[in-house]
Amino acid sequence: MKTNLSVLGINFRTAPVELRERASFTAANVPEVLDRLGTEFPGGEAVLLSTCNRTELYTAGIDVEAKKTALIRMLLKGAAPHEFTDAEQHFYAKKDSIVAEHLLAVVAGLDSMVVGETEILGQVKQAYQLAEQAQISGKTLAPLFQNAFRIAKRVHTETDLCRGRVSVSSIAVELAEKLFEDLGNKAVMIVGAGETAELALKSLTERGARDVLVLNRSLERASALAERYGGRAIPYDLLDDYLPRADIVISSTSAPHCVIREDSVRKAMTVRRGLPLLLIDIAVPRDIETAAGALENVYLYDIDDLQRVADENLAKRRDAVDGAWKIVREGAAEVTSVYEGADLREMMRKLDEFARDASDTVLQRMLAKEKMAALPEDTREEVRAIAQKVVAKLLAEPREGLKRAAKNGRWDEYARVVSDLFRFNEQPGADPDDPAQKKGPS
Amino acid sequence: MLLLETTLAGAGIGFFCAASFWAVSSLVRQHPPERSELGVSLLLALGCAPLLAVLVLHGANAGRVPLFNTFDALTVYAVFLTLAALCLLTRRRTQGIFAILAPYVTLLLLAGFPTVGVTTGPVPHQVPGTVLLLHLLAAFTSYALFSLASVLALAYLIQDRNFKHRRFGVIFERLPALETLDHLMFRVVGYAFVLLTISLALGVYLVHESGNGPGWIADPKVVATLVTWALYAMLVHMRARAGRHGTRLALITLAGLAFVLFSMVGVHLIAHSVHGFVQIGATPQ
Repeated sequence: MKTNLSVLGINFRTAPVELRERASFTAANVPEVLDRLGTEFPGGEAVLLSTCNRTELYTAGIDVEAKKTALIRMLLKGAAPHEFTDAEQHFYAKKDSIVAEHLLAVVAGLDSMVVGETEILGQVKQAYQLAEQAQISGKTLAPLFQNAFRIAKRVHTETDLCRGRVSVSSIAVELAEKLFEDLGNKAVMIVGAGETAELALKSLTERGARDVLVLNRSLERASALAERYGGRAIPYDLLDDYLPRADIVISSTSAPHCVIREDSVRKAMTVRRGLPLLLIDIAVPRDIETAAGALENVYLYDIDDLQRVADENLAKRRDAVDGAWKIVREGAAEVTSVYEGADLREMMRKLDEFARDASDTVLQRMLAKEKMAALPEDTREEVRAIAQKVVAKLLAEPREGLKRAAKNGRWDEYARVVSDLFRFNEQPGADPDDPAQKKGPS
Repeated sequence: MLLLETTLAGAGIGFFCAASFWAVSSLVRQHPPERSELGVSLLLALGCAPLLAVLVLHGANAGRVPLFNTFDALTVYAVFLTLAALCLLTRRRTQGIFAILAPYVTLLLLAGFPTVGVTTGPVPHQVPGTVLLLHLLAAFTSYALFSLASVLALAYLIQDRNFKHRRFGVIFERLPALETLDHLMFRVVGYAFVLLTISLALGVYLVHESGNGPGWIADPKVVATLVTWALYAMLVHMRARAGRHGTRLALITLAGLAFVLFSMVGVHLIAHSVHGFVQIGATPQ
């Protein structure tokens, strides 16, 4: 594959968070970097992907190996000169067919910190859109990314790689979504102000929950949390009064005893007339009396329940990894064949051009000689036709070999040999018959 | 004609069997949900077509509304129920209920299959045709919708068990949210209740027109239907007026299926009715 397709980047495996922070870009400042790339590498294509776990620059038509330092300097904005040397070792650069497999694995969630997470697909789509808007992604990167999105969808639908949530807060949200049709008209009550509870609240509000009630021993802390999520702080001693209004209760206090008793829940359910109530208890020791979970239409989960679900989901995802990799490899082969198809056509064109030039040059010299000059024009034409047939016959086998190589995944190897043999990579204007320019054993 | 009707009925039931197999096996084999949803819906829709053709043929052959034999009655009920479920699917992601609905409908069709093409007693000549047709359509649509509500209720109870016992497998994933099932149950029961009320009103009019006199009130089918109506009136009251939700309402809705089946078919198996032109085991044509 001779597209100069490359990826240069760092991720959570290769670089510490301090370095990843340096090379982190928001959607607002990605266009600026892409503009600089467009100016410094005219004709090149680029997509800049930046998430909290990775920053990767996908390019085409830019010699990443030669320009690695300059590109890293561009990615590590504001770093001191001595930092570049240290940073360079954390960057990886991949090229040609490996890039397709790498991108496909990234988009499918196989290369994520939490295997199978789907957020990355949206992030890559956004990165590609930004590159398109900046008009720096063209016909070379388009098939790579479009196929990556297609293959990611296949992985999501055909394997269990992305099924089930794997964090306690996201499982709490998943349960809420499976219990309630629309979180938009549901009241969420947060008891205590723990970190996991806040994460769950954040996810719930992102999914539309609007009515947020926060109860904490410290009304000040409750107010601060409520303010962040557009909710209301409620005095802690009014818990029983407000319990019937809540559809989802997430409790994470550090109290050494139960703060929500079965009696309180029973009374709340009488008022609720059978409307379901989801109780998530992520405190240790537990905040909600276990007996409350036995009440009709009450669904109580403690931290162990949620962790068990997380572990089961993670195990299912791990089981699905092999299947997902199989799809990714198939997809990468498809993407590679798209490029190789284009490369093959280009190589054939060059071979034809070489054959035509070779026969024309030799015939021109031969026919210019005195004893050939007397040949009638129709004979000359016959000689030209014979010469072209001979050259075509000589090149027939190499052409077939190249086609076979493209099909068998050995394109890179064959293409390099043919390019070297016929000197396709040399600068135009070099005279193949000039002995001074000839290389190799004489 | 009997051979053609039997063949078409067999083909229709065959599609329903295939749909049932796919819907149930998708819970085990973990097909991609979209593929199962499309496949099962398509098979059910394909199954409805030959069954409707049987009804048309039977009606044309008998020269009357084809609702006076067990297979016809069960077929109309099954097709209405299936179409109602498919309509629901276009509005909400309720494909999970097909694993319950498809086998249930298939079993009913198989039960009615031996009576394909059977002719039953004549319709009383005093009964006006159009009003009778409306009476029957309203009754069968309400039966189908009540049954759909029962299927949703069963799904609700399964999902409730999943939540309570922390079973978060494929069935949990495929069935809709509890609140969705609760909303749909009530809406479907509401429509069905209105239709059953209309059917009863039309029935009263038909009794008056046919001159059967006040004795109609003691007819077993009428009594069974009134009991069913009363049960659902209580259910509608509990939900609409008392604002009740949850598993108890789902249990009552599920129990309602027994009343629906009894008033639709069961009553004819144990008692003589003025609706006696619906008979079991009459002579084939």
